[in-house]
Amino acid sequence: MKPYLTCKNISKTFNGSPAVESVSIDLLPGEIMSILGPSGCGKTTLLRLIAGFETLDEGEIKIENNIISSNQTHLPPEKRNIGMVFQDYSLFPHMNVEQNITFGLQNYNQDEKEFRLQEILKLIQLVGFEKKLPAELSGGQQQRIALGRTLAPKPSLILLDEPFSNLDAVTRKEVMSDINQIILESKTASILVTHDRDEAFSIANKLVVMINGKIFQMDNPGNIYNLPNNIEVAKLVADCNFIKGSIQNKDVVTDIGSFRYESTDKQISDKQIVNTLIRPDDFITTYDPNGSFKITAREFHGPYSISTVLSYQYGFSLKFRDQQNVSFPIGTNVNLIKTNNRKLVVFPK
Amino acid sequence: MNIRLKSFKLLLPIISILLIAGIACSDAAAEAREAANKRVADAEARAATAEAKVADTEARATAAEAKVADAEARATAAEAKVATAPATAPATANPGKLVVYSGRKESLVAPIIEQFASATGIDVQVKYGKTGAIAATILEEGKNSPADVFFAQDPGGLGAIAKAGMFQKIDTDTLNKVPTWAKSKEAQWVGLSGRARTVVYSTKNNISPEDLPASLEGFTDPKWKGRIGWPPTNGSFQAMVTAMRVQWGEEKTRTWLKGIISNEPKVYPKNTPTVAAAGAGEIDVGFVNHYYLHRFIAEEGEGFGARNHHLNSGDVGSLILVAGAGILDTSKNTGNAKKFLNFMLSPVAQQYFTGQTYEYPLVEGVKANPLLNPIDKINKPSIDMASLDDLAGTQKLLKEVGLLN
Amino acid sequence: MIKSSKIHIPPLYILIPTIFTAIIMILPLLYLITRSIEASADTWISLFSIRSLQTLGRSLLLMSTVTLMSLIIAIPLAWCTARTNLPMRKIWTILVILPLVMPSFIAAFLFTSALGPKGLLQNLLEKPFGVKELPGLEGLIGATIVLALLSYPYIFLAIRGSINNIDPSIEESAKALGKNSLKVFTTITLPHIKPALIAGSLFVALYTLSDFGAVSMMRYNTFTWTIYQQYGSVIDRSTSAALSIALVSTALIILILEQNIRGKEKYHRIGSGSSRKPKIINLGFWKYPITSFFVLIISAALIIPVSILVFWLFRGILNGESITLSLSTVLNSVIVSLIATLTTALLALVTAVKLIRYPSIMNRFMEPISFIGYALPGVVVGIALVFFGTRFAMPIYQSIFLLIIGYIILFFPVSLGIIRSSLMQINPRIEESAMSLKHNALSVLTKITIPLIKSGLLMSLSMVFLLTLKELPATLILGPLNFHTLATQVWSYSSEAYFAKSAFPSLLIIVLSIFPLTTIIWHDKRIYQ
Repeated sequence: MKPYLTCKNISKTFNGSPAVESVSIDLLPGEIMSILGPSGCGKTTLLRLIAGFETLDEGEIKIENNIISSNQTHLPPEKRNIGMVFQDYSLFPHMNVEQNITFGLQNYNQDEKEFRLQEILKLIQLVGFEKKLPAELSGGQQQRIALGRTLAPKPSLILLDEPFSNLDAVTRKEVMSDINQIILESKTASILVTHDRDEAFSIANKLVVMINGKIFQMDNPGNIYNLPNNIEVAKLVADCNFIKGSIQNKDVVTDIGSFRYESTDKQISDKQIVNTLIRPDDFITTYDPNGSFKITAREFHGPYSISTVLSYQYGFSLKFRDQQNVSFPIGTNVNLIKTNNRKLVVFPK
Repeated sequence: MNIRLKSFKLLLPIISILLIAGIACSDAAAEAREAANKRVADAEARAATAEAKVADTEARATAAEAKVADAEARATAAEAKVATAPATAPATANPGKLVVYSGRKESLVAPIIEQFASATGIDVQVKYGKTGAIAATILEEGKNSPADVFFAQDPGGLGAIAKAGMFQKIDTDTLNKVPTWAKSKEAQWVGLSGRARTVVYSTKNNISPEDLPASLEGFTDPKWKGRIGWPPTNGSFQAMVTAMRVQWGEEKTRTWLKGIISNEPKVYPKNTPTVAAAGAGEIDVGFVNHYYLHRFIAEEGEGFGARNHHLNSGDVGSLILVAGAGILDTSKNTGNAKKFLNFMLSPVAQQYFTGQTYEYPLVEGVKANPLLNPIDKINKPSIDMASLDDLAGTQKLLKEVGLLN
Repeated sequence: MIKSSKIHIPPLYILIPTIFTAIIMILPLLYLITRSIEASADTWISLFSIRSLQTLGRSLLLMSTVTLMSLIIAIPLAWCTARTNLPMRKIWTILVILPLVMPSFIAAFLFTSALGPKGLLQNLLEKPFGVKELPGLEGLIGATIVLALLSYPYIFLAIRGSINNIDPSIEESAKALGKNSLKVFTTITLPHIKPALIAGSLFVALYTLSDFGAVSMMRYNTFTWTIYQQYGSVIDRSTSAALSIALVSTALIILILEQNIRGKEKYHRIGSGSSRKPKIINLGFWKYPITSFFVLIISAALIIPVSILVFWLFRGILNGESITLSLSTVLNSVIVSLIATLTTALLALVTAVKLIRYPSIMNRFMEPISFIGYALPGVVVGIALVFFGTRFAMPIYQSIFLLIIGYIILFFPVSLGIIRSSLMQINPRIEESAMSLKHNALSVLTKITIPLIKSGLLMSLSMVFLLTLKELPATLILGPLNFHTLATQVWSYSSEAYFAKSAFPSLLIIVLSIFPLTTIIWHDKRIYQ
């Protein structure tokens, strides 16, 4: 399949400091991509470059093989057929819901407008809200309208810039699944930008991890979760512990034992000292009065708890998820047992 | 919908103003046409009002001889009208136009300028402003100046234009109508009316003319401490100081200024507030031009708390300053400009100046307003207006003594 | 094939008006430079003499005292009308901004007639209290009082909105931390309204710097007065120009200082979520002293001067004076002011969009240049346009076009200031949303930006309208032949002591200015709901 959107080696510098550095991504028709990265990593700039709100310094952006941005051309945003949903919704405060949603339908006649409006209202589940002003609505409703407004003119690509970050935790979950549903139903290619891994994982067919203006990894979410290609990516996509290890044959030898390993780095050789990624669910703690670990702290997370265990012998602490309903008191001596046969991921030191 | 309605409501006042403006515009056009037709009728009416005003003046005048003088004046005015009317009547073949820059206020000179326009049929266009700013305007306009005549409040403004060589010579016939002291030596400009420097005293504070010294020098006496008001930034005041320098010399003028300053005079920005202050009793005496008092009496009635006193010392205290006019070198309507000057020196105009704006006529045979001290009684000093062009020197002196910046 | 546009260049309908504005704003400076080059060495030496430095010092001193006093008047007025249960708040709001409409050249005279040593007030006090004379209203104190009473509404208008916009939760949390109301006001409210305070103060400062009417009446010798005296005596144009350059440089320094104090604040509010209404504070007993303060200010700034005008008018009518005013004079005033107002607002809107939405190096120069006009004395702008008009634009010389350009130079800063701060409150994401919904920049401007800054636009329209209506020096110099406005009539009559005749156009100016201003305040939904 030919990609719908292609970004090739695009770079953008603000006042001498690079925001986006030589980024290349492809997006297939109907594909949903998440860009995950810490604040200030350039992901919003990337989105704004695609939308046409910023001009780029180098590289080119193409839609179906037509260049829309390069250092010589710049197609204005209104001609790109790209919709955008902003972090703060950015509804037009002086217009009611109906006027907001139909704002992009200037080429529709009155009947078509009304029809499309009702279609959208149904999709965002706000039928009957036509005459309300944005200020009269809750944050979640405002965000659904923002999405509806963006979908109304049937853009070929939707960009979502941290769309859930202004919502409280409960609303966020609801709105997130609503919006995922709406986007999936609309079958529109989309790019979601977020610093929240749950949001990034929840919808994407393709995940892009962006750090310091560069793309660190681009793959389907499962692959990235299972085999991140460096420590930063690993930290972004999941909670993790790292301990030192050394490669011996097909195993990595660590202070808590020897395990099978894998890595995206093909250069890893025998005897090499590596960082070993230990996920909180890779091990469970078992009670053992003579165990070489002690539970020192616990974070309660509702459905599960995270215990911090301290190694008597080596002095490092690791965090593990407790087994269901089994939480040992703080101070209890324990031992660690690997629960799955997943290979541990290692990174060269 | 609600919003749209509201914003419309907001725009409503603006739209309505525009609408009124639009309607009134068409009105104005109609008005202009009518005005043109009515010019002659208007002039008649104005003459009638003028006469009524003179009658009013009459009532106030006490001297029996004033009545006679007045009647004579009216007679001359009427004659003048008869004289000008036939002269201009045949010239109906487009009398052309005339652009006048007037440093004299519209409230003072507009009626007589209109009278000139209606008598001659000339399309007179006037720009009013402050004498100084208008002179500056003419200087910046240079050879592109649309002005034909510069009608100035004081000789200073005229001197600036004369100095820049932007006036043309005025005909001897015209110049000869006024006394030698009231015109430029180089025939650059001619005086049109005279204004006396006077001492306004506060009757509200029970000052009477007997309390006043015979000459300006008397006011340096310490008994006037805190009782004097003056407007040192005013053009006429500065002209008076120039006259002092001409007559008294630099040293004596400086001494006088310092003498007054040591009496801690109140400083006013111009004549009007100085006269108002005397009327309110804020000051006992003020050094001003004479005619403002008459305006105040006209506004506030006979009860106004100040009167004028003309010093009879024969020196600068009884100086007469002139307002005058010159014709621009670049004038495209020289003929009309000459007519304008001659008209302003005609008995009609001179009678207007004395009757309506309480100024002194400069042309012989026109009697001064009986409310004014007769000019010959004023005992005016022998100072040429033309010698008053050293304004720079005066300002330098005023700066020196700390009256100006 | 996709058609593409060039990068970085704002659309022509933004660029051309902005460049046009920059050119006309710079004309007076070019003139002053041209003329001051001719100035002799002596002129420049005297410019740096102790005496002229003292004059400059007086100008700066007056500027500080006027600004300070305006702040002292405006802040409590704004706070009380916006945040307390003061009775008749809406009416007070309108009343307290009205002194703005007084032309300063007549207001100062009115104040002295009323408050002078033997003025109206003294007359009233003489019988019951035996007051023989009041201390004279003159010099620094007199000029400060008059100018502050005429210009505090600038600050009032500037801060009114932002006092209302403050997030009540911040104030509440400060209170929860045990701070009393005054502490909350000084530590929370004041910093919040700082940008608006600075903007308002800037206008007051520049206005004071360029005022001529009040300082001459109060005999306080400032730089601008010296410039007017210099133009009045027509001895030496180069000296006048050199003095003006000194004035403009001072204003530029103030503007640059302001830019630095203001910093790079970007405040948007409109559009991000909903904000609660601030809590209304119950004044209780304080209602009475505060109402008295309002009455005092309104009496001094509005009721007394207007009463005198009305008194003059009726005295004249009773004396049988014929009070007439030709319709064409009124129309000239209204039409020219309307055209100037609309053009100024349009240019200011476009320039504000350019400054805020299209950052470029050009903006660095645009900002101070845009604001310089307000510090220029009207006579300087007038003479400068005479210079350029007669040399390069003879066809429009002495037409209303050149006059309108003069008004734009003088009042563009006011319009720009108001529109720029409204524009800064709009979140740019809102405009971007509209763009991504296939609306081009022009459509976004008309459908989104303009409706959102509507109240700022209307305010700027009415402010420029009233400023134009009362403008005198530039009108006298640039007006067409046979052209009269209400302001020129007021001046023509009042300076020759035709008080009754001057009262009528004065009152008309006030009434005409009140009309748009009150309508806007009355319909401002942001505050009163």
